[in-house]
Amino acid sequence: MMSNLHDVIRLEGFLSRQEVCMEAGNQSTSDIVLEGVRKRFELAKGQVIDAVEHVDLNIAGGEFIALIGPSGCGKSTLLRMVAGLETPSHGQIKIAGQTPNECIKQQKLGIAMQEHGLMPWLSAWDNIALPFRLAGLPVDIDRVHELLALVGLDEFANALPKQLSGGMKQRVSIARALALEPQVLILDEPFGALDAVTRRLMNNELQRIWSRKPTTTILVTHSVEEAVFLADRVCLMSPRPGRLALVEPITLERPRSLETMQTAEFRNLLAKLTAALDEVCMSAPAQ
Amino acid sequence: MVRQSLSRIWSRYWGIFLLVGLWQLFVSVNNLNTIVAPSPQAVVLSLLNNADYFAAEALRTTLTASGGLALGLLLGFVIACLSWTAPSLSGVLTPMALLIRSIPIVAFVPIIVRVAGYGTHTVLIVTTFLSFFPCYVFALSGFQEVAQVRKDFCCSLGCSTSGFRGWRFFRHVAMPSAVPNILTALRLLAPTALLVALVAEFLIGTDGLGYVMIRARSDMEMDKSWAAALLASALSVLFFVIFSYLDKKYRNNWQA
Repeated sequence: MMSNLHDVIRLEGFLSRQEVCMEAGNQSTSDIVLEGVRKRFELAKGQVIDAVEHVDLNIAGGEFIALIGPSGCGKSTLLRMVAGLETPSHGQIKIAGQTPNECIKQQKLGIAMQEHGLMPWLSAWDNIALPFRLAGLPVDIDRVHELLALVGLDEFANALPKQLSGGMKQRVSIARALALEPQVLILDEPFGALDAVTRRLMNNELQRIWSRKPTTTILVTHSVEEAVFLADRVCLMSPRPGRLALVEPITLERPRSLETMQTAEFRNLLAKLTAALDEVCMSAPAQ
Repeated sequence: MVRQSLSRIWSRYWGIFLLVGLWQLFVSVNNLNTIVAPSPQAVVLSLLNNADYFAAEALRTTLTASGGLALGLLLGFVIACLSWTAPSLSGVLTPMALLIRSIPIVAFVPIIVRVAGYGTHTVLIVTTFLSFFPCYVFALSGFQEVAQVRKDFCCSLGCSTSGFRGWRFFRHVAMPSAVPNILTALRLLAPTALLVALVAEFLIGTDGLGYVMIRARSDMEMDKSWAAALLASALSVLFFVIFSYLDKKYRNNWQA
């Protein structure tokens, strides 16, 4: 009886939080605006490399954006600039009217990378609780449990990362990114190191997690399939210096499932974007 | 069961048995006096006849060595924490650490004696001093070797990763990252700490196994002196085994 009551209270808490976030999304508080963003890296003795050249992009609140492009086209650099880990050489980035640096100070950003970066000495539970501790906030125990359940790892709460499979580690890493209920989720090839089958399952999982609470998300990926499956819009970047070569809206209905990948619409989009990607790669001088 | 474990001991440690056998043979064949070279039998007898005495002295040396090691570790850890917060401090301390490490202990001891006098407390000071710098260097490099991806993660939460404002990062990420380094430092230092304590006792001590060695030798009690040396070797191996075990046991949990 008591535990039932507890569950109801937890469920209510979860729903109300979700609703609040949905409303916030509708008010477009997590709009991301990129204006004439460039990044130039200085190498030795006046040598420079233009990693990103003039990117303009508006991302609506609650939108899922996928960035694809050839290796070294500056997609990760662009992502790192949005995450406040690099500063643009020119132009500006505003997230809900604030600079990325102001945003990260208020813990409005969650990131998950290809290298999961979990702390090997902490259990899955403690890894997900770490953002609270690093931000100097009291650990929300219910929230941590809820996230573990969300990524399907409630039985592995006490497992150390070395005891988890690659896919499980990435799930913990995504749960960790979601811990402080960020307004913007930044994913840099989170499943890049996984095998094809696991990767497809993880995409399905991510899609499910994301649909339960649509958060403005930017995903960098090498896989066109992954981009089409997950995103509202796919942005194709040209080889270095990176520019936006094509922005393709993905109109596939949500929620999407593994069956979505079998539809003609999905295959057409996939074919179109793959051809476009081949084209930008080919038109560029060999690197 | 017994035969199995006996044969395992034999297969692992036959080298030691061979050495003891050769030693006994050498003494018997040359018919050497105990003052020149005591036989293994005489050494073991001396050890057993004065068991209480040797146990007390061995305990004293163990306590001095581990006390010095613990103090050195504590001091090294605290100063490494300060150096991490204020990198200018590490610019001063790191070269000094290397310098001190390269001074032989025999040259180093007389200086300390001038300042602190003879006795156990000076042995403790010497052991602490020589354990401090390796602990400091290992701990500091552990703090500084946090992988970039982990730093990025902390940055993305608005958590500073350096200086005083990075204390949360230090507490939750940098400090635990350094545990394998500190375990390595302890494994390498434990036998050294014992050696340093023995040498210091030998040179300036008033008790402990090192002191027993020199005292018994001047009394021409070579069996007693060798017994102390044997006990010191056993202790040194024990120290190494214990800290290797700890290192192996806990390092595992630091691999992702």
